[in-house]
Amino acid sequence: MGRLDSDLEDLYRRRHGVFQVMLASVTGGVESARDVVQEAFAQALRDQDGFRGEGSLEGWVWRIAFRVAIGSKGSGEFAVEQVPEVAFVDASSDPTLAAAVRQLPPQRRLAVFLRYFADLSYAEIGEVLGIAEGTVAATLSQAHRQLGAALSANQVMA
Amino acid sequence: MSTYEHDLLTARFAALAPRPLPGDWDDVVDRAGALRRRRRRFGRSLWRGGRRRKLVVALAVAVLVAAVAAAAYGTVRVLFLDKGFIGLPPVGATPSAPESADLVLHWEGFTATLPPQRQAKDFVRAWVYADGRIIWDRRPHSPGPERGIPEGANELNSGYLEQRVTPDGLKAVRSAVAGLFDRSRTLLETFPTDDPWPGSASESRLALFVPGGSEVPDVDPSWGAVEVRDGNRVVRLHWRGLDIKDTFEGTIATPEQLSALRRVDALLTDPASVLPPSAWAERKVRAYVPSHYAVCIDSSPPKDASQLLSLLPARAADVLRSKSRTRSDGEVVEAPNVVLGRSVTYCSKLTTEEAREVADALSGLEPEPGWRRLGLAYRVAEPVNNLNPTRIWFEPYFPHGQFTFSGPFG
Repeated sequence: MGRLDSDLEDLYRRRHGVFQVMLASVTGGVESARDVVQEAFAQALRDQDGFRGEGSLEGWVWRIAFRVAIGSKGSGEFAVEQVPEVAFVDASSDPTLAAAVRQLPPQRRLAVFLRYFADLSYAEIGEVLGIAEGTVAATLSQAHRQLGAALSANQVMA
Repeated sequence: MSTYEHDLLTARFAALAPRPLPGDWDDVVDRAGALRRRRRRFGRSLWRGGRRRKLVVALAVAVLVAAVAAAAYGTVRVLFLDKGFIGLPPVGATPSAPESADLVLHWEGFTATLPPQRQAKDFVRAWVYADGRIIWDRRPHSPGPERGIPEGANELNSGYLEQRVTPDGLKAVRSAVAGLFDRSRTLLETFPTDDPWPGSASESRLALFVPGGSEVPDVDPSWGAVEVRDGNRVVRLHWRGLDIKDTFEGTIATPEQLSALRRVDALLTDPASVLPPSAWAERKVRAYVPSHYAVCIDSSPPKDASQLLSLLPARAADVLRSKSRTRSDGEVVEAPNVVLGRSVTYCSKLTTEEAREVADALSGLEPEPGWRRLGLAYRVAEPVNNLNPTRIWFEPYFPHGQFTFSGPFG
């Protein structure tokens, strides 16, 4: 087994649950998200030449996973203009947060999901979305401001 | 956005996270192989294409969508917590499953295995189960922003956290500890498995002596104990620093014993760094969410249970009165010139929902000082004659049907 195989297996075992949770917000369900995760890691295993080592292995797999999730047949890389719509699978226990998140523009919303569901750092989010870390910081800052305003209007933030 | 707001948002997102399904790496490998084969077949047959292929694809998509929709309909939303917590879990948190499991190994001690940024020892406890669960907690030797566990509840206390190893991973853990026992056979203590275990490490007077002291930073694990199920008995080994050699019986560790101890210490303090990926069923750290809590109330001088319950708010007392309770006697309590008897602790087993009801009823009481970042505890009555106060506190039940003490040590 090659080094990349082993790293992919390690990544999968550590993070497949997080991938599923995040991708369920794209596919609409955890079962379909699991299928996407399985397929994404399978593609990563198969197309190892596609990983050029310029970023992190996880960032590369996330981009494959998003491409699989949105059914893109492109070049093998998730492109920033393909920002998928993300939403909570079941927001019934916190409709206020769901409503506030729904008001965010798609890319801002995706950045928030990557931050809070996938637990990615600003740098990792930048890598996944193909944007600079500073742009991620600005995007999340705007999102936080917007969310803060919406949630404090409902007096539930603090 | 403040850190507090950030944490709130994190918690609210966590509460809406769907429960992931089990992973299956073999399936990934199979799919990768199938993809390679499919690519070769497609290379040969792409020229065919046409309406028939489109129809097959459309039918497959329809079947997939129907299957996913049907599966999603039956999904029960559950919440796993990625961070430890203090006291009771958030409403809706999914308990660790299965509720019961056989304990195969318990470890506790000051660890010598530390991330590089730390200078002093952390206190680590780990419970390892036959189903592969490792439940652990860790308390930094001294608090500080850099000393907490990333998944921990706070900088002083990780809370109880959970990971899972595969059967092979479990075998690796057990064999490492067995190696330690082989080298320390003369110091082993045994007791029947039907005794509550883990036992009390402080009761033993038999120890393997290791360099260093119990409380000072050094390079060796200088205080601790490990217990392992061995058929119908439990085997226990203690180790202590040389500074308290006079109060214990035992032998000084040989270099081989010390080396074995360091290996086991590293394995149980930071298994994620030691065990290979194939040893993990779930390496990601999650909070251990129990199904039941022990609600305990102690008093010195002793009072009977009905006296103690009468001190509680009525709703809390009602819930606890309806439950059976165990009684354990503690150390002898002495006031000036008179022995007042032993302290006494009563504990009742409650579901998490019942525990939450009791906690809600107690919320008007003062939290017990010293427990704030360690556990959920309230002061029921102030100390009399410089004795201990009367306290009520909540302890999670572990899968082996016991609970431990989460409050301040010593």
